[in-house]
Amino acid sequence: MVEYGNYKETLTTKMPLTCELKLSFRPLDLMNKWQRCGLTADFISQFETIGQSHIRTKNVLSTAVNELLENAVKFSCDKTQHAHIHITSHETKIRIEVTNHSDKQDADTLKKFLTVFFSKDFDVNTFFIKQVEKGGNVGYGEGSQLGFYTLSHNYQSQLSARITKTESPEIYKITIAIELEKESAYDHKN
Amino acid sequence: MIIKTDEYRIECIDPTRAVIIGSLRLPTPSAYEPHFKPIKDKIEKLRDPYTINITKVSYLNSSGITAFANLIFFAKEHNVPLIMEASKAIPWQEKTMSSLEKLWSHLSIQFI
Repeated sequence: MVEYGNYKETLTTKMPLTCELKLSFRPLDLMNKWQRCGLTADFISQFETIGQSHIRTKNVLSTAVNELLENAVKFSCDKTQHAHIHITSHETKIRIEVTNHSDKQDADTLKKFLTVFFSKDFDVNTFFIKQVEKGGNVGYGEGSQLGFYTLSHNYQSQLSARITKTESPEIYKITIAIELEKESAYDHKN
Repeated sequence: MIIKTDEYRIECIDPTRAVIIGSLRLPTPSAYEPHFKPIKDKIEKLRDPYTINITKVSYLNSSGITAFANLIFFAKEHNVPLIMEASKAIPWQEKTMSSLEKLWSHLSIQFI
């Protein structure tokens, strides 16, 4: 098992849980009904912010869930396996975890990217330009890099990941987690 | 030309201006190509600046960011200055459009 960023679920001990939601998907045929990703993201953001006038939180939460879910669907090697979304809401933060299973090649590419992303040498200023110049349509590490970068850089969220071997040497369990500030804290920082 | 789906609408009637509204979450950058083609067709015929209003685009995924970058590169290739009208009220627009602005000196992001 390898972890990147501050993956450990410290929020639950630091801040009382105010709300929790878990969803599982199978089969992962969402590529054929792609709008389900956005529909799920919009549902979760509305569920989490219901009764609140937190428009920014709602928008950022939907954006983040959609991006993570799209990646999980695109890079799941076995569409008959589950993908999981786990959302926990706390006083000032929301944690989103998305888990899927990928093949060794995609897992290795992702590991390489995350190693660079969390290194001191990661060049924030040139990364975005290099990524969009590539034009997209590439593998997990590469295809998801722009999404991870924008979530981390644009929304002041904390990105982390855990990659675990499974019983099959060719299949890896991948969990990407992000922690977002809720609206009051977000607005205060901006 | 107007492209309309349940999620978004792309209005490309004015020769110098397009308006995009809604939620852009297509699966890949190439999936955006047919929808952005009318915009490219207009840019191709221009010398003057072309304006794209995205102030009512509530969501854009990372494939869409790449697709917008491709539009910017297309305008650059044809030497047609590009103006993108955006909104600071929508979280993704402020940061992402500021990042895209670095791609070309003749791309102007106007927050309205």
